[in-house]
Formats: sequence, structure tokens, C-alpha cells
Amino acid sequence: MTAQHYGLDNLIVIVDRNRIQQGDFTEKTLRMEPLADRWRAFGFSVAEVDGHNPEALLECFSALPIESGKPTCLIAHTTKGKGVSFAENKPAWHHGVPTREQLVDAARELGVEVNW
Amino acid sequence: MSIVDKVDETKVLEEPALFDCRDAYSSVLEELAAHDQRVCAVINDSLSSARLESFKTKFPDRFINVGIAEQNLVGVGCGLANSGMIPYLCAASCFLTGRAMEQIKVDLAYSKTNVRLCAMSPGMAYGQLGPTHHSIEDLAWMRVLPNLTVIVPADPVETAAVMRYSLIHEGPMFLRIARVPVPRVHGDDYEFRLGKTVRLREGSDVTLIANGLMVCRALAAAQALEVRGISACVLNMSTVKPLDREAIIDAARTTRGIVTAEEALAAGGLGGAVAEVLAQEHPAPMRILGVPDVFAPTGTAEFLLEHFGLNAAGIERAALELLEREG
Repeated sequence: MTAQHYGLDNLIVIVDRNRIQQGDFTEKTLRMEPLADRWRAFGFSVAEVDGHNPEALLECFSALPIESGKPTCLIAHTTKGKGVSFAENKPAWHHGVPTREQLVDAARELGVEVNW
Repeated sequence: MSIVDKVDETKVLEEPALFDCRDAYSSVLEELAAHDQRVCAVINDSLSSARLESFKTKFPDRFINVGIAEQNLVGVGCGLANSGMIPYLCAASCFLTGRAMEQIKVDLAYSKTNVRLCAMSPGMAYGQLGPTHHSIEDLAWMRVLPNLTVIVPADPVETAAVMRYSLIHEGPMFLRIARVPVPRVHGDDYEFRLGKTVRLREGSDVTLIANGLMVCRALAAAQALEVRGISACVLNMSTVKPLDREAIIDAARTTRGIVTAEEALAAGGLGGAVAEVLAQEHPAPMRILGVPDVFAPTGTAEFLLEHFGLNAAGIERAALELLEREG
């Protein structure tokens, strides 16, 4: 409310919209949608973007603010744990701690070299 | 001169002028803003309760009203401080502390942000508005936060001095600005020193430690005790944090007991702070005067203060009981 009242168009909010919270999916716990409309209702200009696509994100960042005189909200749609089969999009992994074996598996799936 | 005139004159001499400390705070805030471009005021729809009508007129570009949104108030204030400003967040203490506790803890105290919280109308100043508007918990809440300096000025002179000091202080501050009218207890030559107790009266039997509007009442109690042949030392412990441990230990060594008095819950505030020092450094008989473990009823501030014995008579009684018990 303050950002829109003062026309802070140099303020950018990025929402990591992974749809998971500690106990379950956000929409099953307490619905957040329609999220973009809610930000708009608070005076933000909203863009939705694939949070896993760097080119798409850079394109968004290069054209800010979306609207002069308005703060911006970028809703970056992401998948939590993306690329790690046992963790991907699973609420249990919202703040899960991997075992050494799981860490090795995750690194292998992500194609990452881990030296320890 | 007629007889009526003489009577009136006597009355004026007997009853000291009373001051609302908000006047001293707001006039010094204007003085600071005129002197330093970094000074700004942030409020939560508290224009008149924070006495900032004149500030707004004189410094419109350094005045931000975030509406009734205390968490945002603290967030915006911390953001301004992080960008080099010296923001004074001026809001009723009950809402400022009660509604924005986490922001005060994390954004302000933990982050050591250069913000000044000017907590208006604390204690039971909003008497008739009841417990939702009373702020008797604030002192306990603020005192436990690391990094936060907590000051409760006693009169307009000290309020002005603390406000001037606040410009050069590094780190977050909580200033509890009284609304209930108080007389002057300090002279014009008063100099505020952070963490240093002011000895307002020497005494050898009992020490009365107070802050805020209880200081003038402690002085009145000391006068009443003197009539009874009891010598009471009076300390104005306006800085609750960092605490003047030396003055507390000295009081325990040089007098037979200590009575603390504050316009706040008896738990966790000034009395609690003093007790923590005494228990560990120099155990001494003590009485803690404040609001007991209840929400205050609804009534005028003066009625409530009297209801809880937070007046000269209550302090006098506590001192007498303490000395009697200790023999």
C-alpha cells in the first residue's frame, strides 16, 4: 500500500512462486490465488515469468518498471527441488535435509561435481 | 492587591506548572530537522497524537505517513535508516511495540538500524480507552531486546535533552515519551548522559529509583518520608538500557533498601532490571512498584495511577513497609 501510494516504481518484488510451504502445498493449506490479481489490487504492475528460464528473467529485468509510477511484482513460477527426482515438488522437502547418499544422488541427477 | 489576588498567587506558587513531554520532544525534533537534513519523521496516522502538525508543515518532504500499519512503519523506517536517513518513528507505544514486535526485534534491534522509536502516550496515559490502548507491557518487551537503547525521560527538560542526544547516538533507540503531565524535576543546566543515573536527592535510609512520570512522585514521597525522619535518596534511572549497575549496587551498599517505581507492569521493566543486578551483585531488600499482573481497568490515567499506588503515597508506604520489615 505504501509503495503504490508513493509511486515507488523503482521497487521490484520477486515472488518465488514454488507453491509449497512447510506443511503442504500453499493452495491446499490456505489459498493464495489469484495471486497476481491480489498484487494488482495493491497497486503493483505484475508480470508472470518462468523462474527457471534466465533469458525470460533477464528480459523482464531489462524492461522495468513495467509501468511508470507503479511498483513492480514479478511472479517467478518455480518448481521446488527441480531436477532432483526424489525431492522435486514434494512438500516434505520444503526444508528437508538430505542424507549423504541422497546428496550424492542429487548431485548426479543435476550433473554437478561434488568434491568432499 | 486584593485578598483574592493574594490567594491566587499563593496557589500558583504551591502548585508547580505541569508539562506534556510531547511538546518538548516535538519542538526538539523540529530543531534537529532544521539542523540536519537526515532527520525525518515517520508516523502511523499519528499526526496529532505525535504532535507533528508543525513538523509536517515545515518539513513536508521529510514527513511520511504510512497509515495505520505499524509493521510497515518499522520496515519503512529501517529502510530509510539503511539509506542514510535518521528516522524518528512517532507512534502510540501500545501499537508501535505491540503490533510491530518482530520488526523491532529483527529489522531494528538485530540489524542495529539507526532508528529512533518515539513511543508516545505510554503506560496508562490513554486511561479511558482501556487495556487495548494502555501500554504497560512495552518497557518489558523493549528492555529484553539486545542492541536496543531504552530511555524513559522524567520531564520536559530531560525529554528535550534525550532528543538532542539521539541525533548523535549510534544504533536503535526506544524513547518513551510521557503524555500524563509532569512538573519539571531537572534544572535548565541538566545534561543527559546515556546510562548514567541522576541523583536528585541524597538520602541514607532508603533509595527510591524511578523513571518517567514516577520521578516527581518519588521526590514527593521522599519529602513525605523526611517529615517522618526517614532519609530517602532519589535516583532518576531514565536509561533502562544500558543499565547503570554501579548506581544500583551503590544504592544497595549505602541504604537499607530499594523501592523502584515505574508506570508499567511491575514485571520485566525497571524494577526487574534493578532486581536482576541486585540478586547477582549485591542482594538487598526491595519493593517493585508498578502495575501488578493484571490488565488495568478503564479510567482516567490519574485514577489508574492512584488505583495501583503509583503515587507519592504509594511509594512512601512501600518504603515504610520495607524499612519496618527489615528493622
